Amino acid sequence: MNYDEILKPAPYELDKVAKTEYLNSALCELTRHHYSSCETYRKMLSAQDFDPDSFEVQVKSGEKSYKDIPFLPVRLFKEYDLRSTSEEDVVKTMTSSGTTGQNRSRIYLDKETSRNQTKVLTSIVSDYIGKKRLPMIVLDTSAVIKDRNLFTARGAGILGFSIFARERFFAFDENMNLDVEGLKAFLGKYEGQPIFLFGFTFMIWQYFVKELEKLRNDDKDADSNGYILDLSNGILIHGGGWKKLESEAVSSEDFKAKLKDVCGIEHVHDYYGMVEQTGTIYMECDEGHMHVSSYSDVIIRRPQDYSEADFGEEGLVEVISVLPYSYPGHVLLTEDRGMVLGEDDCPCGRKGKYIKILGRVKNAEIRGCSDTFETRK
Amino acid sequence: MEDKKYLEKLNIYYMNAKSFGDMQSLPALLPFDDRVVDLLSELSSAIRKDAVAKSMPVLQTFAFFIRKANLLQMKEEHSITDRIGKGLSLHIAPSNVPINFAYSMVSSLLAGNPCIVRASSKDFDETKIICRLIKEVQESIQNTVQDKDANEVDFADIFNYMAVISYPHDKEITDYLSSLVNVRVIWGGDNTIAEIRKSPIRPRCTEVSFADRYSMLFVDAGYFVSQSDGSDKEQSAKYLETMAKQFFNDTYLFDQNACGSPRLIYWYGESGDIEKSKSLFWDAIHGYLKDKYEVQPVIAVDKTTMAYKVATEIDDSRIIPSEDNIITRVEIDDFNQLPSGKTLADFEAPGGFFLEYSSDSLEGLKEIVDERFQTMTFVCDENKAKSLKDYIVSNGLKGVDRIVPIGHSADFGLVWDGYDLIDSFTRRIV
Repeated sequence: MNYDEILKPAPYELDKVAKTEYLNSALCELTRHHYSSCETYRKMLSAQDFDPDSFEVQVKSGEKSYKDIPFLPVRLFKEYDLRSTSEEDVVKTMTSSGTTGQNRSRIYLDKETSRNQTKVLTSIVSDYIGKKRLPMIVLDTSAVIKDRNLFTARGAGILGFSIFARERFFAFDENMNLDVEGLKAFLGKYEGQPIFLFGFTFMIWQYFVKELEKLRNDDKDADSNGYILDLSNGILIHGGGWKKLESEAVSSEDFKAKLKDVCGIEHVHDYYGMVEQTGTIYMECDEGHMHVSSYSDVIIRRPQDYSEADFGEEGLVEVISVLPYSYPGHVLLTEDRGMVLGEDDCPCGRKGKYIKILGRVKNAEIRGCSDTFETRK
Repeated sequence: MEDKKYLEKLNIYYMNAKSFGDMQSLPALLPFDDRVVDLLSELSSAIRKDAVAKSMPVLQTFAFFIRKANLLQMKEEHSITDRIGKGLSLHIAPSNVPINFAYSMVSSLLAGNPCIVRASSKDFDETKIICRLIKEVQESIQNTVQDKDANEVDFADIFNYMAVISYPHDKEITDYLSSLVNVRVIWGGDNTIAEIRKSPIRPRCTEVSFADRYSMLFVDAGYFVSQSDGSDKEQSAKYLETMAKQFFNDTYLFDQNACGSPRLIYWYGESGDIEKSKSLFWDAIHGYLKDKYEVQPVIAVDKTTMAYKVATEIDDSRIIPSEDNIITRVEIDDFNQLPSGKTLADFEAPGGFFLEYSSDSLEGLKEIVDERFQTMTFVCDENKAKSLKDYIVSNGLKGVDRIVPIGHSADFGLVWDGYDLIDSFTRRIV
């Protein structure tokens, strides 16, 4: 794979036609690579009579496209060590931050894959916050990245986004207490400059928004705008999902409005991504649309038959990325629900699909003698 | 009374006795006691007449099971000489099969035991309807007693023998109830059994537990082709439709998650017949299910995941392409390819996931049948069905407790899961 070539397009410059051509070529090559380098992946494809060489011929003739490449349910990364590189070449193993007791995904990265993830993340995020490094406030505790051996999604996210930092400041101590004085000093130092903030959606709501609101109600020296901390120069990127906030009935709009209310922050970008495809994240633009970058795709599948859903129709989210080279994670079926809102025509000017993520699929309700049917082990 | 503090925590669907302690003091009865038979047959007609119950097939099947003629026939079939009930029984019903509690209770009543039944806490309509009808039968009896000759209805006492309750998981209550009983019956599979067993039973208490099981369908392809691909097209089509319906009853009706639901199809015969059978069979099933069964999204993903697991762990397996996610099939060539330490039960997913194996001999059974195997439904003639049983017996296989025609995997009988329930729930005096 010539990644210099593959990563050449800007993140949002390919339109539908160019994109299809781009993905057809990159994904055929990736599929061939994983087929020959990962025995488990080969078995999975062989069991359905999928042969990458004849598939490529069909793609070239226009009979098939990258959309016909079999997708692996992400759960399989919890069951098996899926690797397309030798054990010695693994430089990093990422794990999902699964709930206690559950298996975690294990994602094996070699040097090149890891480097490409950083590269792509940089070019996607730069499209939103600019190319210059900024003072960064991590809305989390430094404790989460202290153990470098354990790359959980949370730690990896913070480290990954830290590449945009000129200087980094952690907003919470290890007990998740907000360090107001420290933050004030940090903001004072960079007064009048854009500040980059990063954190996980639920943490931000629980420990930042609620705390600032409480402090204000306690009448702790807010400024004339009612801000304990003035972040009107801030750009916040947050991710991690809405599951916990949904249970508190907090919508994306509530979230943004409240943030603006307590600290004046105007630019808030949610992102969707997963440890299985680090790098190719889906960032929300100012229109509130999550954008698919050049290097990846989202296909919404109807649960009944896995056919591709229409725009605006809800279904299971399949994610495609050109980055996974050291492990066969280039075409994955998630357990998230979502929809494609449109393609190439977002008012923000970015090309490509834009999507909406609607949360996890429901657990099964099932009849039968055994009491303990559980999905998602 | 110690009962009090527990009674408050319970949801009581039906209970006539004043306390569990009182139920403990009730005399054990002889199996198939006339009063029990009379009460159940009254209940049977009440269920058959009830406007709501009428429209519910599972209730009608239950009513059919406890109709007088069937009870008397079952009495006939059981050797009950010298037998008497063991005493108070506790039944832990499964949480996902609404009607099961009733069969468990009836079996134990017929054996002669008072019954405390813990029904599913899901508050199923079936539970409520049956308990309402028990009350109605009881009220009509009381009226009769006041009006007429009490001798006609001497089964009034038997109402004390039934308590149907539910409570959320609470070890203290299970501890208490378990300490009272002489028989404990646990449905709901391995995890529930492990959970309930944390509550000790009395030294002489009998426990009957229904573990997670594995079931299969055996199809004699030659026989199947002869029935479904004959010269009489109409008759063949009818046969296929019946097969589809029967298969549905065994599988999708319970999300393929009942203990008797087949998860493996054993195709037996010449390869030509097998190929033909598979195509006719699955087409018929798919046609029948298409508008009937909706695949939940997470189930679709579960089945796809399992298909890949089979592909990964069992060499030379084939995932069969399908136009939708209702039926997921994976063919296995050779049971010897199972990874060591794993059995077929490690490769199951409810909601329509099937492993398929083809052979011109029965030898494959020897390789796979272990103590987890419960039901073998069959599509073959009588002789072949008999030879299946002979094969299991002559090879001393540790599993397969029932060999029944396709469509009958869920038919309840007093011999269930390899246990003779009347035997298990009674003692013998010599």
